[in-house]
Amino acid sequence: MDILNKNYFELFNINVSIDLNKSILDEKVKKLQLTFHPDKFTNSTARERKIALMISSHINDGYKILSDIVLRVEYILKINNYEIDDSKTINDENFLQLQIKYSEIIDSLNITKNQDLIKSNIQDLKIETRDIVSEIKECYEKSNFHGMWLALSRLRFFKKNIKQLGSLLTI
Amino acid sequence: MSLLKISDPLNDHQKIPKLVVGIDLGTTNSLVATYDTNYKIYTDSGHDLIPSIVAFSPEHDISVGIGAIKLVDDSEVKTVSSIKRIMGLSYDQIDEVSLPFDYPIIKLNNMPSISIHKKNYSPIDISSLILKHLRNIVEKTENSTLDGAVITVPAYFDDIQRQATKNAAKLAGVNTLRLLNEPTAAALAYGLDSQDQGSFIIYDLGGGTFDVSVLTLDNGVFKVLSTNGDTMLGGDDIDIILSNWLKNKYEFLSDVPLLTLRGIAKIMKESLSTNDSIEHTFNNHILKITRKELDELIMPLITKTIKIVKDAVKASEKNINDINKIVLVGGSTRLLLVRELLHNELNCEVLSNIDPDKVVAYGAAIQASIIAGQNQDDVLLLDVLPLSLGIETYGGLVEKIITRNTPIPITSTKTFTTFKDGQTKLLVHILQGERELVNDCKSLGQFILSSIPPMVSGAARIDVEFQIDVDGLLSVTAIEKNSGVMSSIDVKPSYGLSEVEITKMIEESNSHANSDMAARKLNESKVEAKRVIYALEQALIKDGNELLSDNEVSTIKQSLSELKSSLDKNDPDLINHNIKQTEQISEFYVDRRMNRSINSFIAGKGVDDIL
Repeated sequence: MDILNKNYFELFNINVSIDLNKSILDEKVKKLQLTFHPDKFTNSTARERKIALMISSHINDGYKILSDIVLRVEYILKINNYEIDDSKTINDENFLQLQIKYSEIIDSLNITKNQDLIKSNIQDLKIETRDIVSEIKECYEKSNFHGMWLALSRLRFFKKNIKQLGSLLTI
Repeated sequence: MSLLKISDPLNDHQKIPKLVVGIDLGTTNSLVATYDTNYKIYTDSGHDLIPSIVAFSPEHDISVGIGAIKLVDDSEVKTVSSIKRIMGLSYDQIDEVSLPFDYPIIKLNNMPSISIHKKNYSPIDISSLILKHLRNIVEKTENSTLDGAVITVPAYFDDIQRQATKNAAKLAGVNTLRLLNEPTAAALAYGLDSQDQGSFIIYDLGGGTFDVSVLTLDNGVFKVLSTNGDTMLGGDDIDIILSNWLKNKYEFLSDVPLLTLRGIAKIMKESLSTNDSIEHTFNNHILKITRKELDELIMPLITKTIKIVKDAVKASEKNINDINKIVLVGGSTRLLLVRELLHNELNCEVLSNIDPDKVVAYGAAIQASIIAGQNQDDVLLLDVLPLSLGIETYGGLVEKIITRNTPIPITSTKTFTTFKDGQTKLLVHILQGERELVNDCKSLGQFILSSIPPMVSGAARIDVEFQIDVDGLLSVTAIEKNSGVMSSIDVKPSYGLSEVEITKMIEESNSHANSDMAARKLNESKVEAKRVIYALEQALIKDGNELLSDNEVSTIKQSLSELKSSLDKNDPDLINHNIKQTEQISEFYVDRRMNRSINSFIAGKGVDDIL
């Protein structure tokens, strides 16, 4: 099946870009699933049902990757044939200090669970991630994949911290 | 708005009238319903709610439902209820489960089996007896064979519990169209009823299980964002708490049988949904409890459900303010404490205008009608995987392959390699759950990859594909990348039944009713054959000339006419053989059509003018 070999941007018929409007992606997925979800093929032949299952899974897989900024950037690197080398270490003094700072913050918030502090830290981290995303965008425009990869590891770290802090919030 | 037209050739189905139903296979009660333009509930001696109870006489005469209820007081007869509580559990897991019967439970293939009048019944056996009873009710009422059923399961059921339910249906001769999550079913019934749009919480507290789902409804598309729950929490637990309280308060109750006492507790609990206090007379004694006392007793349990709801909202990445409504499902949501706490804690409108006992069956009936192609072409349910799926790695840790709340169907591929030169086998241990240690997750099974071509260590690349289908069930395939050899996979369920064992059980159970079985088999083959014929003929009319050469058209037509002529011969094996042949011959054609369909989609003919 050709479809299963298409990259996810092609599948959803959207331009490859770092920014992505989630509501547009949601809408694309919905329209595709309305056509290819296995429930729409219960009266078809076994072959069609099997293909529908494969396509529908492919759509969901694509959605999972494109709707997450970290996975999306990784994916863009992959379709540009950039070999990700995790063995390289990053020498970034500032980033190292930030890592230490936030791991201490999270440790203490784990105990105090101070909601206001958690919220303000999440806010700070979100600003950090916004800056990194613009940096990644600039790198991408210049086809600087290595720069993208370096920024990505920082993005991953901040995203992880936002998630950890988010889990400490009570509704 | 040409989108649906583009896909039409693939989606057109013949409107062969089919008898399809929705089954709510509940812990306490089951329901079976169908939907056309209205709901129709199939009743058991006039009752909508069919007790999920099976009674066995000493001669092993079996009664189910209302028939079984009538025998509860017969001391010779043994009754089994609430079997759903131990569906798909291993023998070791049932220690903590409280059951409303006290027959000896023995260990068979690491599974629990209930010993009744010296015969053993697995939870799958008991469930299949209930399903068979439901099937009989439908078939007698309609005087026709049941073509298929959508069966509901708690959203939080894991792979083994789902598979067990499907096996019970198979054993009962019920063709499972879909396993549908209970809260999703309820959402479907509500959504179609109200035409509402937005984000909803479905709070489903049944007799034995608690489920919550957060979902959005947008123009007929129901999208589950997250689901959470506890398969060991329900109205049964409240009855147990209350009966223990009664026993402590009134000494004379200590000799009263367990089931009787729970029955009293249940009656008293239910009247407190409309009264501030209740006095119940039993053996000339008055038992009394106020609503305040009951609320205090069950507060920890209800608080637990609220926490689960909040976790589900968090996982959905929705803000609590985004939630428009909370829909109540399950008889236990009649408890006033549930309504009050939900309203106070989540500050949302609480909806219960569709009978909470029936709404799941209604939704299942709608889904059955939709997927049988008889209704609502524009409605679609998109559900999620309730529990993460992983494999065992070094040090007894679990590496997650597919995380929970991922939309299904989904596939995930993981590459394995060999550790030793010439190694031809590999063992993969599959687990389900959120915890990090193997011992804290549920073991689904071990997969042995064999016939790996012998190579130096690390050279083999075995891609294992994990596929979760629309029922939330896992299947695994493996291929060795470098040689292209398909590795064979031997599935060893950690407990439960393998495919072979199920087939054997079905054969055994049907050996007494051979003629019935043969008729069923023939009917199934014919239905499938008609489906293939119709699908292909419609396709040929639409685009046969465009996509096929004259030669190809005549080859397909030839095999179709062979299939058609075999329909009159009443030989299921011949029909099945011809179905297979036709499908093989037309495979390339189906692929071309699917490719064309997706290509026209991607070319933006349909999707972009809508966005």
